[in-house]
Amino acid sequence: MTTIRRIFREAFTDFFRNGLLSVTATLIMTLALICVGIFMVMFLSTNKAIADLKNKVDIVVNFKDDASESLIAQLKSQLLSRQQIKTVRYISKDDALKEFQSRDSVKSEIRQIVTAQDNPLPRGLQIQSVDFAEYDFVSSLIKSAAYSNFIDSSTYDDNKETIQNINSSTSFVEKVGLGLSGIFILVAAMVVFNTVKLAVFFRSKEIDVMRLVGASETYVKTPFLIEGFLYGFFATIISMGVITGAIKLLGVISIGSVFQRFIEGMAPIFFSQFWFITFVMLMVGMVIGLGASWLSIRQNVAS
Amino acid sequence: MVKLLIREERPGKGSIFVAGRDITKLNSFDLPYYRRNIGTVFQDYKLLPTKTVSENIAYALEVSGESDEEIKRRVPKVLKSVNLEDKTQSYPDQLSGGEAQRVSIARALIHNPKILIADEPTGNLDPEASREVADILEKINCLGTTVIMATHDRELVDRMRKRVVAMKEGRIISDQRHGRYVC
Repeated sequence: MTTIRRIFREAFTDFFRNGLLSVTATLIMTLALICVGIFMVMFLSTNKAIADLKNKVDIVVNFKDDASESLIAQLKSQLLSRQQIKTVRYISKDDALKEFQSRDSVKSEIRQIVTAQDNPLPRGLQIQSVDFAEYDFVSSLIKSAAYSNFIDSSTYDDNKETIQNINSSTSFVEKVGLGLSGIFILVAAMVVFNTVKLAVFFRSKEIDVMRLVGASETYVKTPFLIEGFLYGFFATIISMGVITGAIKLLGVISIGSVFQRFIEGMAPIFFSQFWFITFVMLMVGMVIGLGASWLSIRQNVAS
Repeated sequence: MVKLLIREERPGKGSIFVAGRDITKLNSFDLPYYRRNIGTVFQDYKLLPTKTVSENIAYALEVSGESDEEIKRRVPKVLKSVNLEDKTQSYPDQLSGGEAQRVSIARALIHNPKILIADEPTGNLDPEASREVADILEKINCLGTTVIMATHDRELVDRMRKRVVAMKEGRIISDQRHGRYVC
């Protein structure tokens, strides 16, 4: 217990007494973590935007008036049995009318013609799916012989292009995001590794002295590992501070500019995922800090 | 030879016995324990630059798991024995060569070692500081610790009149009980 306490005290004392070296290592790590953090915010924002967009895209199938209610119900239950389909909403003639009447774009003369008594609006099913690929299934189903004669129109073909665009951009953003994050973390790890290596190199004589006065390997090495962890820890705190400050500041100065909507979209995502982002950054910082220290000690300090 | 005695280096062949134990066969686990039982004083002091005088000495006790109370009791005592009570909070770069060497001696003595190995302890010091260091080493010897000192300081050797083992190109060329410096 005494030894553990001393090892920790040793690490903290060294960290603060080797001021400049610690500050340099921490700041380099901070830069790396800020990149990681910004990337995560961007990534989460894009994902959110795509998810929102996905929610807005749906297919509406309109039925001819001679289609029976049981046929519509049958199609509905058939669609709902598919796991990928999120919701299927039945739009009755009354619902369709209400929606039609509430549209601002409809001229008042037309509004007067279409009434509850004389309602030409079709009944429909509004279908939303988690997976866009599922819309192809929907399309083939409504074109099948059982239904095609009773279906007036569907918005599938109108939305098809949008759906395909979103699908391909989703996978593009995901791939590029992951790739760039990987490169960023790798570069950060290498820079931090070199800084820590330099720090350990400067102090390799000290390590020899510690050994010569009878310190065990654990007693010599552990404080360096803890220092590596501390670089990551403090860098995480500083990075989160900087990113939080930057988002708040940008929120104020971007008002009225083209970036306003962008920042407004990003800020709530950042704050709602604050602890998750902090956790990921801490993990990245810790792994890089500890790893760099461990490798440096192994390289610079021969047993 | 000093490096071999403190196992900073291993011999290419042969054995080195200290207190009946072959130190060439020590593994990395036993080595720290061996080093805690011999005191070593270096020409370049080998003090930890980021620690104060008293922390440097306390470090040698901390690594062996000594209790805080014991460290608090022993550190001032050993500092007093090398006349450094007023420098306890100084850092190594604030000390003169003689003072730094005395800190190094104090650190070597803190474990009450049976053997003290001094590698050119006066090599970087002016004559007055050298004498001071030599006096301290002599005092330690009188108190029962074996002191092995490697030196080129003719005046020091001639004044001390202790056992002198002369070496040339790695071989012993003379061994006198109360010797003088051998060229």
